[in-house]
Amino acid sequence: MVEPSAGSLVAPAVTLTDRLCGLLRMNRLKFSKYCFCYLGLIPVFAIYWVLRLEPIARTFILSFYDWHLIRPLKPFVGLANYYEMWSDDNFLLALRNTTLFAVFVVGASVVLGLALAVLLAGNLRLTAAYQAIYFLPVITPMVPMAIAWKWIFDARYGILNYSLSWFGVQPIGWLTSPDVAMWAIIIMSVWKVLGYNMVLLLVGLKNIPAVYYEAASMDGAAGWKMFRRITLPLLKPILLFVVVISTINAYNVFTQVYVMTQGSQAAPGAPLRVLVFDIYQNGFQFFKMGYASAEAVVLTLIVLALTLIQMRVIRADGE
Amino acid sequence: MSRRLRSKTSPTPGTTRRTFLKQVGAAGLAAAAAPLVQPRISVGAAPVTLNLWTGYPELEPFYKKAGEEYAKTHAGFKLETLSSQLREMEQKLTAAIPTDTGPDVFDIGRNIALIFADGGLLPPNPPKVMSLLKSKAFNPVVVDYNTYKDKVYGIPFQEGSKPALFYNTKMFKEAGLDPNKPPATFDELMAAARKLAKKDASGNLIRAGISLRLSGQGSGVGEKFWYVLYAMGGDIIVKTKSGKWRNGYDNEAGRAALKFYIDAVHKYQVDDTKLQHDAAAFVSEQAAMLMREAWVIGELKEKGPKVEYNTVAVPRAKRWGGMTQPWSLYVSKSTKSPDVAWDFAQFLVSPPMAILHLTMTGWTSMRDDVDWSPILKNTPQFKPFLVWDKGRGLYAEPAIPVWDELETKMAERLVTAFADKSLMDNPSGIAKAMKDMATQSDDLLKKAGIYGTD
Repeated sequence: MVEPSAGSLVAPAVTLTDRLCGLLRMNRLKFSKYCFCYLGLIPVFAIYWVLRLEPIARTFILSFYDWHLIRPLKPFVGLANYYEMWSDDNFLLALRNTTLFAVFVVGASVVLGLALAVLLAGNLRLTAAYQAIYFLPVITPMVPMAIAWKWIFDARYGILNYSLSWFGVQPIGWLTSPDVAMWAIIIMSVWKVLGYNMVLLLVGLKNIPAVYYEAASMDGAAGWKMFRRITLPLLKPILLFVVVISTINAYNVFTQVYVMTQGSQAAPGAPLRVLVFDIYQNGFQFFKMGYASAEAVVLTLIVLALTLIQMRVIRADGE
Repeated sequence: MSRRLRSKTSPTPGTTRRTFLKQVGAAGLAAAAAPLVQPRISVGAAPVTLNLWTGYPELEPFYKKAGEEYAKTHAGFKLETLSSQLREMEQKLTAAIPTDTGPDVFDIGRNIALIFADGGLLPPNPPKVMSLLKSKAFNPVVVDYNTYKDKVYGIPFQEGSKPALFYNTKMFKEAGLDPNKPPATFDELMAAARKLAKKDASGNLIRAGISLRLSGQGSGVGEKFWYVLYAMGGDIIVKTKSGKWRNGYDNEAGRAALKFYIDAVHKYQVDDTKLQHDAAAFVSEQAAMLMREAWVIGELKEKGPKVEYNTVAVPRAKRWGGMTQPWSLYVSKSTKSPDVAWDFAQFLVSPPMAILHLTMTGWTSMRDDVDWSPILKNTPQFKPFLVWDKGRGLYAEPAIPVWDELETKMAERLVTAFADKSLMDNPSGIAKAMKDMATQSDDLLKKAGIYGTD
């Protein structure tokens, strides 16, 4: 082994780490911190990629194929699935029904949620108990709740018709009449999400500093005027969140429609056809995965567009 | 079965019914069990384990029992079973069969099997099985049902849809009708239904004269509509001379069938969407009549033992007949023991097993050569399901892959039509409704490349 002679110059070994540090213009300590963070994120990102991003990408790709789940031949058809959609009565009906559902469920659940939040934000007795009661439907699973509501809506034995009969109302076929079936599902869905919206809006209300109300009060504002000038503008960020989340969820409605339209005592299919049900039926009943994927892409684009519009409108209004 | 063979949803499936049916079938089983002692195929020195999958959990005990019986004469044979709800099983099979990771033997609806066959994923029946199917043991209509592109797939195992008219004899007597002379035609059926329907003081129907399938998703609505449509002389689709298909209901028969429903709901009000429906309505005596499959007999025994009822063939109009929907057993392409798998599948449909099958599950066999007398002696209500009268036709769904979509979409439109009061005494409205439905059916056939009119 040759010892370096005293006084000779030994060039320090330049490692890959040093080069990267140089390239990124950061010291080794900072580089190590970044490495640690990214390495820690890799498993999460990998899972997110496999479970979220790749299925979305593959859905997009499948939408350009006549991709039957079982048949070996899956030819590329370009935009044919998208063209077909616009002449498909079922898809157009589903789009119309889903939009109707979304408008009413989002509208009713946000307005009622806000009204409840305002009521419960005051110093009522048993506020916590009321919050828990209104929030209870949110934590209960959708399938058993949908089955329970199927019974509540039952024309012959349902508690709803029984209650209405006290006022002389004749039995209504809530689920079996095409004219009212969608309204029955809307009522059930509003009941299910009301508590969630209420809690979020309540948090927003509680976070509005009292000083604004005090100042407004000194200026002579009260009641509706105070609500309109102080509460609503300051609640807009949380209101935007609630509206966006409610819209996304409403456009993805499926479980309650699926449960309530199955069986001989169920709601009629056509008046309740919604987009996700149409996607499910085409994909998993008729095995037309390519077509179902195209529908899913359109649904994604609709929700994305609505979200962007809502964000722009509410933010612009806020500014 | 599926949307086809109805799944039984009793909280304790089969327990009471099984006990009852065991008693009913015990004599028949004892008499028919003799051939079991003579093996037809030897499993050989190497032990063979077969995997069998079913979408009907209530069939699993029968399969296990049959496996034990088969093992008695085939040393080294072992059967492993897997069951789940039908929808889940369909999804399991659609993932497993194309990847050769499926079971050796499975039962499934033809709608799925046909797609496997279309993709070359299912082996056609071997010669030995074909000779069984071509014997007098099976009706040719049943064999045709399993034929696709000149090849036969699977062994018809149990009946999914053969219907009969259930009628409440006590209500018949109360309404001044003779329970020994049940309706033989659809006109008589409507007349009887009008007498049997019951209203409260406010004029609301509280008991259906006949419970029709008026609501819900899927092909169940289409199948029940077909009972009436067939009698009126129509079909959902018909084959042309050139082997293509077109709708068979945009015609007088289709309009008459829809009119029957509209009259029943809106004109004579013998049924109402607001009432309880289906077997549950008949069992709870909220409906005096019902057209349904044999499983309702077990349901009645279990949930409505006091209901006084009888059964008769579905009435006739221009034609007389009943639907058949064989639920079949298939052997997978990937099985390592195809000889044993096919032999066991044949064993499952043998006459002794057919009786055991009915005894344990309530489902009826597809075979014509079984002596059902011990069963009929105790439960005569099985007669219209097990004994097919001369002159009573048999019809089945056509073997085309687009069928499920076509029937489901037609059914969805039917449900809307049934609820449309404006169609009452409105021949042009009925004609338009049928035409719109038929156009949709034809469009689906065109898209599948099998539409023709010549």
